[in-house]
Amino acid sequence: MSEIEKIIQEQDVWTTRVLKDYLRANPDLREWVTSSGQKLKPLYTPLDLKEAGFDFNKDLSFPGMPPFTRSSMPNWYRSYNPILGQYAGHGLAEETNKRWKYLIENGATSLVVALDLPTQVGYDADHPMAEGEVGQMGISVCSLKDVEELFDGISLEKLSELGTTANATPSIWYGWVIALCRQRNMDPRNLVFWSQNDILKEYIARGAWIFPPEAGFKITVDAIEYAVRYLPKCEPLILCGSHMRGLGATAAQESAFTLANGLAYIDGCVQRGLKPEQVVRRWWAQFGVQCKFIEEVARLRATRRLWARLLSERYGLTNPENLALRLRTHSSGVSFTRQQPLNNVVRGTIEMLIGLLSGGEHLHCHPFGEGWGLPSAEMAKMQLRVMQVTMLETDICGVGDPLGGSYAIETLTCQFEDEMRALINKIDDMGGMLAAIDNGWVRNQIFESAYKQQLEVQSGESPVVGINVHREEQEDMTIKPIEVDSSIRDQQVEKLRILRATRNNAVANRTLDKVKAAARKGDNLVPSVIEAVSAYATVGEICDAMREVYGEYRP
Amino acid sequence: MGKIGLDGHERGAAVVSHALRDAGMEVIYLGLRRTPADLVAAAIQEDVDVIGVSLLSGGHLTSIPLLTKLLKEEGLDIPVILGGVIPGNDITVLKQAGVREVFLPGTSTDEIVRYFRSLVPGRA
Repeated sequence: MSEIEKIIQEQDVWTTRVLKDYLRANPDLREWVTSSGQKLKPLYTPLDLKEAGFDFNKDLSFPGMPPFTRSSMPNWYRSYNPILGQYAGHGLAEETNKRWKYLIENGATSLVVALDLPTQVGYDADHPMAEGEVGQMGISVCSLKDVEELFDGISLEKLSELGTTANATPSIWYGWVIALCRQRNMDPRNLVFWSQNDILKEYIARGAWIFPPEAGFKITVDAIEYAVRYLPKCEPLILCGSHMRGLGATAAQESAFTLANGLAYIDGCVQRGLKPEQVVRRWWAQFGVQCKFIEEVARLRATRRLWARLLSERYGLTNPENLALRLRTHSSGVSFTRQQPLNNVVRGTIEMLIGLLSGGEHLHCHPFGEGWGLPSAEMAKMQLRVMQVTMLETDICGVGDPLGGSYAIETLTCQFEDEMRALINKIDDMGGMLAAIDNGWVRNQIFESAYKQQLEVQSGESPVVGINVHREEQEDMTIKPIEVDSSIRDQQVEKLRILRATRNNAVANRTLDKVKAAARKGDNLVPSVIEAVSAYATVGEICDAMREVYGEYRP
Repeated sequence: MGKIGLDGHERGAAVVSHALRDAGMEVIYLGLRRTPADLVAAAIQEDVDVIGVSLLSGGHLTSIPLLTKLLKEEGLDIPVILGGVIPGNDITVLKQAGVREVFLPGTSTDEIVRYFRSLVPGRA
């Protein structure tokens, strides 16, 4: 009898006798389904791998080799310290400078600059639409002057990463970083930095757009093109799924829509005259993970494998350096509750474990007071401690892809790959992601999933401690969030007044005219924006110049 | 139902709207980047019974009093219901400014639907 035949025979015994007898007195305590609604089996065996068509060499292979199921890291965390992301910043430059220094003292090496919403959507602090929002969700940065204050005394070279969630305004961020480098006699070509640049997800799920989609897309391609041509260490794109997940997408939808956005960007760059292999290097993909540990590990591995296969199938790419997708795994703010906030430290830890066991090259844990407001310094430090304890005190970092080969994980990885591929094929049938976004399909899918999840929580089908199970009518803990004094708006407005009074306005205005001219001609906007930034033109002024040409998005 | 200000976190507004529709109510979904004036104009144009606002970006102490002030100026007695990430301490201030009720994260849509129904007795 062969090994497989013996397994079939023994599994039959287990199913029809051992398990069956046991279940009579000990039935399942609950249903177990993936976020996509697929049932989990009580057990997975080599037979499941066989049925899924799993082949070690085709589907698993080795870390750092296609199809990158096992990540891009040949020696996982034995050689590589994952970047521990720290999205931080609020109020004005001076206060954030202090917070950053505190975090760096406590072990942070990454700075992901949290810009406030007015800055992200191209309004200066004195714009009516900025009312009530200056410095609230991030730092108010109106010009290079603020940037200089922000980074005062902070060494750029020592950081493991420097980035910002500029999606409608990547060229402005590039301008700030390049100007800062010049001031410090640093060559910006040696600096590893990034702008998130993923405008499509803004139209889908995040909302920090400025211009209509066609112009927004062009601006993203401009930034990618500029990075590819002139900034060899700049990472041109962070493909983001986490915001779609936060809006309600299932794990499979999040991955599929993210990869589909990636394909749309590649196609846009190809139309610009770039080659796919120039464009996809140094990309990251960011995903929001929730606590369903087994499915999350499986689908993240499936995501990397599917991406490598899509690039090979659609663009004929073969060089492994172009096929590897690096992952940023984020904890999910939506999985954190306002009730019993300390439970969120546990959730964050589980979500960090998912990142480590999936081979994420970058991890980010949310602060546990997510449901209450902006985090205190101590709460922000806790994010680091979660990651530090997990990485240093467990032995997870001692073995590469320790879950690889698990019958359950590999079977589910195959299932997720199939499910994600089917979604991408559906998007293809609609004419591609740009069309699927434009006709509302993507958002509708996400909203349907969000509502379904809400009903599952309310029915108790999806347990959430503190919400539908183990509720406390009298909670032990309340959190006082950091409040940003609304008077900082006045401070920032005054700073703007001084800026405009002291800079060379003739020069600044000339640079703005150049931005407008470049936009009208359809040129790459980045060079003219860099010049405008260096002349201390403000965010609002630069974006207004573009608004004159492109108009504003009205959803 | 709309979001005031620049914040784009729409899930709460969308899920609550879905639940209200499922319960048989008509929801005019205004989405993102609305000003208080936008909401008032839509309320007048659509002759609504309730205004729902979602706010997570911290600007509630500025925008919401402005909204209730504008409604008062128009002579409108339409209840304003707020949802989002709102510090507990601010709820009293907001109610004093004219907000009828504030719903925080973790509230069930059943509770919200019941509450909306109670605002229009004999109708829903």
